[in-house]
Parts: sequence; C-alpha cells; structure tokens
Amino acid sequence: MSASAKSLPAKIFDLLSSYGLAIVVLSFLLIITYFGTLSQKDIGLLDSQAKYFESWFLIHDWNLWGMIVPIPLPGGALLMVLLFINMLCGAVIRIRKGLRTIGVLISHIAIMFMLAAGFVSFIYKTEGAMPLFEGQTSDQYQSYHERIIEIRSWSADGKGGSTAMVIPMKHFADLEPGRARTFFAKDLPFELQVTGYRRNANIVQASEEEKSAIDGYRIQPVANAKEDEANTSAVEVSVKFKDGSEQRGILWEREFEPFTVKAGDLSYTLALSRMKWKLPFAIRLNDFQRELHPGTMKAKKYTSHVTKITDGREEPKVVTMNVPVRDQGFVVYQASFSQGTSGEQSVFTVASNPSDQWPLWSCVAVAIGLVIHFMMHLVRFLSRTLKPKVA
Amino acid sequence: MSIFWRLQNSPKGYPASYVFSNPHMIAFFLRHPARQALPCLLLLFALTSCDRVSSRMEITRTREISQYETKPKVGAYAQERFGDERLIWQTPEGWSQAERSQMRPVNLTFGPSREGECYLSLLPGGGGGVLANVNRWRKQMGQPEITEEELAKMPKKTLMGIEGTFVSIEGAYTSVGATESKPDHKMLGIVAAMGEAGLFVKMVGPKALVEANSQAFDQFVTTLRLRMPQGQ
Repeated sequence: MSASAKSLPAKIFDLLSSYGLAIVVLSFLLIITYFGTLSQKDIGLLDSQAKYFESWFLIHDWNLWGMIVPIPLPGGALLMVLLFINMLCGAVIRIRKGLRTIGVLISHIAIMFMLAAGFVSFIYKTEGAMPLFEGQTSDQYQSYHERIIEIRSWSADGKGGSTAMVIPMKHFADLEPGRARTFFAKDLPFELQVTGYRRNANIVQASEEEKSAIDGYRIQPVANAKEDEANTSAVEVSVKFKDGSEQRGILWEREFEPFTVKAGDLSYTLALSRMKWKLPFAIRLNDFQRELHPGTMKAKKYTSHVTKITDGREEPKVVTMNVPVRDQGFVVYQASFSQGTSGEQSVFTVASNPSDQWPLWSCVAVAIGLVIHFMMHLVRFLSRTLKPKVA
Repeated sequence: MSIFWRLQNSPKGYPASYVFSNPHMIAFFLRHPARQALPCLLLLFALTSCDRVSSRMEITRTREISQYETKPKVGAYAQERFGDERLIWQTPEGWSQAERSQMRPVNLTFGPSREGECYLSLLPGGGGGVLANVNRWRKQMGQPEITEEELAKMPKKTLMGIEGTFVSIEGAYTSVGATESKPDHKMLGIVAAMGEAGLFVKMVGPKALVEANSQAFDQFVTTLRLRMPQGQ
C-alpha cells in the first residue's frame, strides 16, 4: 500500500513509531537535561525539576553573551510520554516478533517499564523528614515541599478530633493577592476563603491604619529562597460563619500556634503547615552517634540506634548512612542531624514509593535483553565465520 | 463498542485502573493496536492528569492525627502565634510561666504548690487612675482605703521606664470572684500610669512566701521591658 493511500490513524501510527521521532525526542531530552541541570544553580532543585522535567512545555531563557533569548522547548513530561508511545509503537507493536528480536523486545519493554516507574513515582511517591531527639518517638513524616492548610476541631474539654481536614497546596498556591477561593465541607460550620498566598514571607507588626492589617500584623513578602525547604509560606484566611459574621486571620508556616475560631461549643484551629503522613509503625530514637573526619567538622558517619514499634511490639534497629530500615513499603534513611539547646537531633528521611525497586528491575531486564541480543549476534557471526566455505 | 464510549461512560472520571483491569479493554488494545491504541493512550494521559480548580471547592482530603503529635494551643492570641512577644522579661529562678491571656500578657507563679502569683496587666482606660487601683488592691487585702495625700507619700519604683507607685499590703486576700478570703497573705505591686493607660504588676501569695520572693519580684520588674518593633 502506498503512503498516500494510508488512513490518517495509520499515518499517525507511522509517525509515532518512527526512528525519526525517537531521535528528535532523545535529542530534546538531552537538551532539557543540560539546561535543567544548569538552572539548578539559579532557581534551585525543586523549581528546576518542575520547570524542565515535570512540564509539558517551557520557555528557557538562554543567556547569550548577556542577552536573554527565550527558547520554547518541549517539557520533560511531554518528551517522556512521547518516548513511551514511540517505544510502544515502534519497538513493541511494530517490531517483527520472533526469536531474533526477543532481546531487543525485552530491552525496550524494560525501558518502558522504567518510564512507567518514573510516572508512578511522580504520582504516588511521598517523601519527608522525621526529626527525632534522643528518647523521642514518632510515627509520621513531614513533606519537604507540600504545604497544606489544615483544619482541626476541638471540643470544649480540649479533646481534638482524630483526623484533620486538609486543603492541598495545589488548591491555594495560585491565590496571589487579589485572588481568592472559598473552601467548604459538610462537617464545617463555616466556609473558608483563602487569599494572598506568599511562598516566602515574614509576619510583621502593622499599624491599625493599614488595610492589610489583621490582628495587628500583616504579611511581608520575601524573595523566594533557592532551596524551597527554606521558604516559609503565609496566607490570609477569612472564616465566614453561617450567621454572616466573619473572622480574619493570617496563617504562617513558622507560627508557634494555630489560628483559632469558635463555632458553638467547638473550637477549630487552622494552620498552614507541611503535609504529614502517618507510618504503620513508630520509631523511637534511643541513641544517636556521629563520627567526624579527623580534624574537621565533616561527618564521616551518622548512626541512629532506634526501636521500631509495630502494634506494641518493639524491635531494635540501626539506621546509618546507606543502610536504611525498610518495612511495609516505607524506607527510613539517615539524612542528617542538628544540634540545639535540647540536645542532638537525628533527622531521618522517610520515603514511600510503590515503584521504589522498579528501576533496578528494569535495569536488570535491559541488561538481560541486551546480553541475549548480542549473544545471538555473536552466535550468528561465529556460525557464519566458522561455516566451511563451499568452493 | 467504541473505546471512547467506554472511557466517557466509566465511573469516577476514567481511572486508569478501570481501563487496565477490564479484559475487554485489554483485548481491544491487542486487536487494534495501530488504529486506536495511540489516541486512547493520549486520552488516558490527558484524563488522568486533570485536576480542576474552581472558585469554590469542597475539602475532601483528611489526614490521621498521630498520637505522638504535640497538641497545639487552642485560642492562642496573635503575639503568641507569631512568636512576637512585645514584652521581654526574665523569669526568676524557681518561678514558672502560667497560662497567659489578653488581661495577663505575663503570668508567673511561684512557691512549692505554685500558690504565689505575679503578673503584668495593661488597662487601656487606666482603670480609674492610680489611687482607685491602689484602693481596689487594698480592699482585696481587707485594708481601708487611703487618700491622695497618703498615696503621694508611698514609695516609687520604675516599671518599664515609668515611675509607678509601689504597693505593699498585708492582710486577708480575696481574689476576684472568690467568696472567701485567704488569711496571712501579702501583696506587692506597682501601679504606673502611661498616658491614659494603666500598667500594673501585682504579686500576691502567702506572706512568708512573698517575702522570700521579694528580691525575685524586683528582678522580674527590672528585666521587664518592651521589645522594639520589627523593621518594616
């Protein structure tokens, strides 16, 4: 069948399964990896990842001898989806299937599996910090980046509910001053209007004449830090009760206590904090030890002697650099430590990622596929070479 | 049946699991890979990546509270919340900080059973002036009122840079709202006027305990000061 006689879906399939597309996609991946890596020094790791590798499209500002040239580029998300489709169409669906291509097929499916691992990780992975003083116990870890507005209810005798309502960051991070959004829930006796989100801010005293003053304070925006962990967000909230009354407050990540409103016999606390995830077990830090390189303050080794508590059952464990504790899909790594007036604090990184081991498996599968492929080529080459030539 | 019809009519916004767990769907992909698999995949990516944000949104996410989580203070006022104490002081050794309120921005206790108390209060209207406040305190201690002349002769002490009247009263103490008085108590205090506002430090407790802590009272008063406003 001639190319012009092909149907539109068939033409699209040809395009998506072509070597040409593979070369273009891989070239762009190389370019955005280069630009994305360099941009980390200017905009930090998190923003660089979001701009170059988690986007569909992006504009890269190329500094050409002091002149900024905007270059539109496809984002990492688009390129990886296209690469996945390209390999699916070209190297899995269209490829001639047989013993001779088994190695190539295995390798390509393994690479697709690695891309799928990245997608699953992007959607489902949670990672955060669990700082513990010696003797302290915790069963939750706190996100490095994801801010939330959290609402908890408290009875008159001071008992708090077992769960907190959570407004995720993606629902309020776009609410710069002048933009507002209202949140409601069937169990809440009020609606919450959120506005004036600042990614990095201080809270300063305000004079009573200032319109933006709330309880004698206002939000003072600060330039964003390169490393997002150093940013302290702030946001304005307005609690609108059903009787028409309203109570305004400022929520700040570094505040010592939450903002409180009363509704009937219940009190509600509102806080801007980082998302916390609960573990199915608790970790108690018994002892923290650190070794320094001689004559320096540079750490040679951190070691935390901990007790893992699962349903009351205690189990001693040792967490040290590159030797994490794994249980029920969660991995607890030794990350760092801090020294304060309250003593030494060991900081763990806790991660949960359903596709944690998938890249390892896919690398093994790629290697197996390539070994099969090259061995078959070798065998064919040797059989041709060693075959007696007919005169 | 078209794959698009299936996707459009699947429940809960076309979850990927619906497509990949359905044998008919898998068979469909296998039968017609070139014709429809790619548009379907593109559609699938588009549908799973959508998260619409509107001007009114219901809060649907929750998180479980850990038993190890520190309980926050409910009803904290703005200065407490932002760590912006406009007042600075040194708590004397052996004294403890009690719960503060708008009426008592500094509230300390002392004694073996924390039966002694010492607090700062600020009244915007002044509470009727220095004499009225001194006489109110005297009444609390079961003592007769004094006159302006007697007030003028009372010793002075500096409170946050303002000269105030130092009060030392012994007697049976009846706290605000109480029906019974506590005998053998002593009250030390300073009443200062700051424009129309009144500034008070009051220490009260069993006589022996207050006398044992009179130096600590002076130390507390000496260190009490206003923090300068933050830079704008």
